Amino acid sequence: MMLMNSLLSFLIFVFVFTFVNRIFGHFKRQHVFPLKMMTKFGTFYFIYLITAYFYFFKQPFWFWLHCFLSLIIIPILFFLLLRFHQQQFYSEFVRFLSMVILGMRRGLSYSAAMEVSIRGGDWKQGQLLEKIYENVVFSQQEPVVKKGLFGQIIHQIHIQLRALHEDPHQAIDRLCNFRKNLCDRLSFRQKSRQIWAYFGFQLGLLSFIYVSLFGFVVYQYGFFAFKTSFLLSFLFYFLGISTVVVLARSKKWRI
Amino acid sequence: MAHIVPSISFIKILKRHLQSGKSVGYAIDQSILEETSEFSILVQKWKAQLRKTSQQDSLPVETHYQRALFEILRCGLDGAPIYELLVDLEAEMLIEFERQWKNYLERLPLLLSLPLLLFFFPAYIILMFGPLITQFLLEVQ
Repeated sequence: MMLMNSLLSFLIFVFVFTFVNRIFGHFKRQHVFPLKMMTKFGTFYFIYLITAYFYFFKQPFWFWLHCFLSLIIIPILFFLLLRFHQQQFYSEFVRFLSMVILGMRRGLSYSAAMEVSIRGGDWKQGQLLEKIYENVVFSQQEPVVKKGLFGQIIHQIHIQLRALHEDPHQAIDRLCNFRKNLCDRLSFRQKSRQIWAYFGFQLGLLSFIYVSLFGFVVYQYGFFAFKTSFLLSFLFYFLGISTVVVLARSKKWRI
Repeated sequence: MAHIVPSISFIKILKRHLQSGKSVGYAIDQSILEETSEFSILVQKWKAQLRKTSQQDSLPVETHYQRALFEILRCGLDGAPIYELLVDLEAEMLIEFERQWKNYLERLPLLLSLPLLLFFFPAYIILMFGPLITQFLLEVQ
């Protein structure tokens, strides 16, 4: 039995490590996290799994639980980190454009200004900027980020910078215009998020109160004896949620 | 709720194409392709209508700003320089957006109190007092 359990634990260990490694590989291809950081994460996770395997050698259930939890927590954690880094990229890219414009005003060519800006700046998203630069200057066709809204935005940035590289007519003015557009978009996004925050906060708070109250009432009185009241209450709650969502989604600026 | 107002986004794309030396007609077509919103469909309709009739009254516009934009585009298609006009119109639109956004933000607490009073409040009341009332009625019977 012991041998069977340890063999099963080992197989789970191999499966989980391979799966998490693939997740790391996926995030590595997003060019958002530095390569060194990803290697460190991989090594740390391997050591963590090995330690857990030997520590819980006689209690395999706890090792399986560790594996299962890491399968859920790691992708969620990395997804949140990725989103945070992607949000950060917009303001960093505006700074990058400012440095390129400054370089061009100093008399450098467009591509030289980009290269100097990438080498000289202290970038958190240096890898992504470098990849965009390579794609623009060496006319590579491979997309930097393949999927999602962020991928589309990077693709648009790539098209803009490539157009400037191929036709440098009024390059500084066009870059300034591009930077202004990006700043405007950032400002719009911020304002839109502020309104969403109102809706989100209201929904979150009301749902939290409702769920807590529901739990308390069910604990006090039981569920099945009063299921009609609960159903009616849930109906009102659902209508409230739907109304708030409709209010949030239906807003259009009449300009 | 969109992150950016479609008409403002359309002007931004249009300006970019004009700045890179493209003609007004080409810039409009490209902007329609790039800005995938209801407004670009409106521009498409307007352009199709323009070919059929030269009357401005039949423009399918929603606001004064859109009407001004269509008039500027019409001037551009007739050969007049429109870049500076677009810059000014965009600035005006941004001011209007700011005004509308502030107004909406002021009205938002009132707007959100409607579902609170109409739906959430009854839901809480039923949840809290529903079992008590049911129990009481059963005991009375």
